[in-house]
Amino acid sequence: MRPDLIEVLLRLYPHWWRSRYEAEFTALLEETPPGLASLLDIVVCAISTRVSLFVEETMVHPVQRALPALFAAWLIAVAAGINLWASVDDNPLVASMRSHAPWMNSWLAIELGSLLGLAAVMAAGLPLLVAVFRQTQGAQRRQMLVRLMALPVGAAVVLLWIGTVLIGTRGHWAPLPWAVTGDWFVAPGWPSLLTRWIFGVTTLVLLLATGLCSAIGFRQMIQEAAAPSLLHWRFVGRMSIVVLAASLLLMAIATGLWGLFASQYASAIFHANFGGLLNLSTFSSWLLSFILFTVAAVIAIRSARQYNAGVALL
Amino acid sequence: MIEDILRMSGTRLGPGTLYGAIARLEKQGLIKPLPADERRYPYRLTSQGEKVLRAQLATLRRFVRAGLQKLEA
Repeated sequence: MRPDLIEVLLRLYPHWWRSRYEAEFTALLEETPPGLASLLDIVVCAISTRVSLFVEETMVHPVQRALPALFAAWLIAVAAGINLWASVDDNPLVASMRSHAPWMNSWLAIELGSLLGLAAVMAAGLPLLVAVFRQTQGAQRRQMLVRLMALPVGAAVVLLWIGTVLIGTRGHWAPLPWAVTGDWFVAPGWPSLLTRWIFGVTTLVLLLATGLCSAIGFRQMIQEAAAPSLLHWRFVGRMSIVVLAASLLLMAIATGLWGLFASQYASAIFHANFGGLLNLSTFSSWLLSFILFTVAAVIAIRSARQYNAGVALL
Repeated sequence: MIEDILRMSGTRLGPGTLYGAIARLEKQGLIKPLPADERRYPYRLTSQGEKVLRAQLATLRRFVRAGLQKLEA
C-alpha cells in the first residue's frame, strides 16, 4: 500500500491504539497489496476498535459505578471523623461535654455511626473481594492484589513516618497535623514551628495520598470485574449498603447537633483554636467535618439508590 | 503471521482483523511482544496465554473425539 493511504487508514484508529501499534501495523500494510477486501477489513476493524473503547468507557454497569462511589463516601466520612476527633482531642470541650447529656449523646451517636459504617464496609467489602477474587486469574489477580495493597501499604508508611519522627524527637512530638500550632503552650522538646508545619503537612499529604490511591485502586478493580460476578454478593451487599448510607446520615445529623450544642454550652472554647487537623478553630474544624459528613451521606444515599436499581439489571 | 495462519487454517486474515486480535490478546495478558527484528514484530505466549491455549485445545480435542465417535457410530 502507498504511504499516504496508510497514513489515512491509521488515522481511523484511536490515539492509544496508534501509539502502541503504528510502527508494526505500518510495516504490515507496506507489504500488503492494495485491494478492496483489505481496505474494508481495516476500516471495519478501526470502527470496531473505536466502538469497543467507547463501550468500555461509558457502558459501565450501574452496580460498578455505585460501589466505588460508596467506598469514596465512606473514605470522605473517615476523613471527616478524623478531622472532628482531632479538633476535640485534648480540648477543654470534652470536660464541658460530659456535663451536658444531650451534647454527650450527640457525640455518642457519631461514634455509633462510625462503628456501624465500619461494620457495614467490612460486611460488604470482604464477601465482595472474595467474589471478585474468585473470577480473576493469573496476571489480573496479581494486579488486583497490588491495588488492594494500597490501603495497608499507605497506612504502614504513615505509621512508619510518625514513628520515625517520634523517635527523632525522643518521644516528645509526633508529626500529627493537629499538633502543630494552637492556643496552647508548646511543650519543651518539641521541634521548631517551621519543622512542625513541614512534618505535619507531610503526614496530611501521606494520609490523603493513601485515601486517594485506595479509592482509585478499588474503583479500577470493581470496574474491571464482570458485573455478573457480583450476583452472589448482592443480598449481603444490599443490606450492608443500606446500613452504610444510614450510618453516614446519622453521623451527619449528629455532627450538626453536636456543633449546635457546643455553640450553646461552650461558645468561647468552641471558637478557640486547640488544634484541628488543619490547625483551624474548633468551630471551623466542626464546620468542615459537618460539610464532609453531609457530602458523604448524600453520595452514599444516591449511590445506594443507584445500586438497588442496578442490581435488578444483573 | 498472516501466511502461517493461512497455512494452518486455510483462511487469510485481513491486516485489521489480525491487529484487532493481537490488541485483544495483549490486553488480556495472553501474549506479549518480543523485541522487533528489523521489520518483524514477533509476539510470544505468556504463561497465562499458554494455559488458556492448552484449555482451548483440550476442549477442541474432546469436541473432535465426540464428533468422530458420533460419525462412526
